[in-house]
Amino acid sequence: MSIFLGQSSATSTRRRLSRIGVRAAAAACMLSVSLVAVGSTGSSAASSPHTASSSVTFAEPAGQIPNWIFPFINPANFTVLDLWQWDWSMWRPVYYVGQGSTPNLDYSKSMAYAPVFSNKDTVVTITLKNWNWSDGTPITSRNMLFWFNMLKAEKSNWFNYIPGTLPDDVKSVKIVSEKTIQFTLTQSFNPTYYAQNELQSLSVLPMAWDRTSLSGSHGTGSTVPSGTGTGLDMTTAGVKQVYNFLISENSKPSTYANTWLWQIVDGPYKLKSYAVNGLTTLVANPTYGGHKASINEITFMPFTSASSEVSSLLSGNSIDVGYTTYADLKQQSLLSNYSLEPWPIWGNDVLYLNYNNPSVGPEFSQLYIRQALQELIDQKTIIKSVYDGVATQTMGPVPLSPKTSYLTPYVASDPYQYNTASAIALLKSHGWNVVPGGSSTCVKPGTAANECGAGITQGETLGFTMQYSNGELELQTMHLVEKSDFAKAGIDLTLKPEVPGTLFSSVGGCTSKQALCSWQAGDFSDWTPFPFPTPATWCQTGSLYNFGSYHNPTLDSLMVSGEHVTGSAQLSAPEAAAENLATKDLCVLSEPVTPYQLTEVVKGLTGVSPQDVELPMSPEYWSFTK
Amino acid sequence: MALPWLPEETPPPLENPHQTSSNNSFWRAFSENKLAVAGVAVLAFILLFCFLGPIVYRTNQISGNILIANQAPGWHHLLGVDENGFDQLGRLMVAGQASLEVGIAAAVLGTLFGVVYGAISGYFGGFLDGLMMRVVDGALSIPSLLLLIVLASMVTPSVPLLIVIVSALAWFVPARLVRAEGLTLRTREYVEASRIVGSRSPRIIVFHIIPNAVGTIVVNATFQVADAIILIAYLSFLGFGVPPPATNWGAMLSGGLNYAIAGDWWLIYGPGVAIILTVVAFNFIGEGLRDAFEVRARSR
Repeated sequence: MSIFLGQSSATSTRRRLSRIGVRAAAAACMLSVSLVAVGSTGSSAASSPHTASSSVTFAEPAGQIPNWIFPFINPANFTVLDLWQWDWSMWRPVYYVGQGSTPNLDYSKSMAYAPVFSNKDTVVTITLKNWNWSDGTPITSRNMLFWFNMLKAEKSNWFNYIPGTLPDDVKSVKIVSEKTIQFTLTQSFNPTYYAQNELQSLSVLPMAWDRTSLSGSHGTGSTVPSGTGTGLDMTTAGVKQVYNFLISENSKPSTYANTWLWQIVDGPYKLKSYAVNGLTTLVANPTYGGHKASINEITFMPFTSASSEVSSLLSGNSIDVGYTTYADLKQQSLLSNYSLEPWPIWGNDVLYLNYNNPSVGPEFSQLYIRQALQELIDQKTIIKSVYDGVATQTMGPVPLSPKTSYLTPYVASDPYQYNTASAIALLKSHGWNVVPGGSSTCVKPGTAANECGAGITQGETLGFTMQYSNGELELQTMHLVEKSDFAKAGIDLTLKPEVPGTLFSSVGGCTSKQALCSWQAGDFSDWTPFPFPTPATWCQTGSLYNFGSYHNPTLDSLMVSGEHVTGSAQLSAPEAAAENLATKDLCVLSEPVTPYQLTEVVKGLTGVSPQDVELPMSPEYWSFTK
Repeated sequence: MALPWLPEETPPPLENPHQTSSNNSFWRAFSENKLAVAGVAVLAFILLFCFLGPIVYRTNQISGNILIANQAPGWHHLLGVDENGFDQLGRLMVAGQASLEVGIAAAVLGTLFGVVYGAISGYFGGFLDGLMMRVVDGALSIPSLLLLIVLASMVTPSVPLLIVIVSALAWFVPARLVRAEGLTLRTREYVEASRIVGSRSPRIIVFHIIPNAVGTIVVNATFQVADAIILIAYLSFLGFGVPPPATNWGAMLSGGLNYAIAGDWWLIYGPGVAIILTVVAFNFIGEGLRDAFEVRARSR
């Protein structure tokens, strides 16, 4: 394409027909690309490269490659591929996140037994199982202390850090024995909440990494009950040096497969080869303490685009676990050697409203307007027509699917179903002149029950601009559907697709006088909440992800008290009340959530499903049927 | 420096006894170029299609009907329905408006700037000419599409921004062409005469250099329109088009391509053919104008 543009100047002295030819050819080029695509419709997937094999090829997400190997990922470099797929295959946290199709921790697959809470739920005792590192040394409580020391020193460089949570809410740590460690918390916590949302992050690091050079000495695994041990990690300054060394090694992708450092793993696989283009192979770790892998080798294969990956599936090339796109679902019959197994997520798709925006903030602050907007989002039609039925309805802070004990009956009842008439009636009953297909205007300003509400002026029109990521075709289609439905109540929705970087920098918490507060509504697509979901993420005052600056003191109070209810109840009364209130008050609007990917699994390969709704990938459970 | 007793005024237009016959020969030469005439006809059709078509063939291009997305061509929707539930024929019309408006505006803006830039460079010559042309050479050495993609990934496209961005890359060629004309024209007698009677440089550039390069400018402008339309189509094809529900032919092609592999051919043929026809039409017209200007020049 640059040839065409580069020739624009050169052609000024060329023969005339060649000028026409260049431009016509350039114009025809795009069409021919399209025609080639149409022409390929007739092809079908060849037979699988594997019928019974000990190796599997896994397609990496389009445009992504694994390029962060150190299992202590910082927020800027976190990707599902890096953490939950590649690193997860080599290093496992203490607790296995995800239990089949539910988001719970699975203690049977974990390297530690279930945590024991004591002393009014202020002390947590964790005992490790008899697992080993790949170099033969046992995994001990000292390894967990090493990780915790690093977390304390480098918490801002850890992707999962939220102020006030781990490690801030741990008063002290004590090694009880070689396999047991004890955390004393700053206050009582609901054990289920604490295990699911905080202890799920606990991890271990090998003592051989407690060093500042590849050739130097390292800390020891002393596990005397006093909790002491030798090693740089025992001081903040020392562990920072260790962190910097490991990060420097992490920044050398070309050495990943050559250095002994990354060969010490506690997961089911270890690194065999790595190329900077993202092509990497893992080989089974025979010393893994959990389920022994049946597949001996896994190759992660990079793709520059989803269409090239789909083309590879269609041509029957060597992909065993790949993915298709919504646009290509119509040709699923051509993928006769694959089965479609969408990878569901434990998540929501929320539409943020900026309550502090000077222009539309007063409108968003009115519950009846939020209710009308929610009732105008036709989730069922969007799921059916935009996502070919492969998406899930959401409502409130707790995912509706899979069904869990976290879901209250009120939220499960789907309180704001699509209802244009009800939305229009809501607006009319609050002083709006509703003009379907036009612009609704406020005709009764004021704060009485039948008036528009505080800050809304006479003649003010109803409408706002929504910013969203421009990378996903279906997301745009969904918003076009919403635009059509909002228009039925005279609400003008202006769509503003943005490149992800711009979106994340322009949509955030703000005060009304800040220039940043010019955004009105933002959709970041899917979110995955913690296994134990609370409204805190999006609705709590001061929360990092409360981009809309929603503020409700009653809800804040319920959430705080809910986290600290002692006992083992799954959902305490304050937590249930908070969930209901957040849903009823619509601090954010809800949209359908889509699977993480539309996974295609080659026939004969079993164990891929159920895919973990928290997104970790566990290939040690995969196997080929004979 | 103007002599004090002589008023500084525009010299009388150069007398051209062959003005009428020159114009006749211009149009005769243009009309004898069959491809150019065909280009005008095609362009006229496309303009009518895009700007008058929506009045005759009324469709809702603001709110789509997702329930009939990707419907094949039929009596109710002659060219089918796109992936967002918009009638494809109606969509072609409004998309054409955007493509033509942005393409023409960007070409005009780029040409205007390039003409002024090139005329200054050519008229003054010397060091300034060398400096200004090195700037153009440097800018031309950067692959434009790469630059556009980088820009588009940093800013959110809108119609005015697209016009500015495309025109910012469209002025190099007219600048070079007009500069070459300027180098020749500045030595002509009427320019010397104008300078002797005290005309300042800006006046000479505006009233003598640029008008006498109009043939080159007009011909190049038609090519610039074609280039701009393709460039915008490229950008939209790569996902950096105007925000929905607005669209252009490139965006339609891009959206349709996602479904083309599944057999929804009607999503790509329309915009693809429209782009090709428009670009070829502009090029034919440009070639015809070039011939006509050459004939007029010879007849003077």
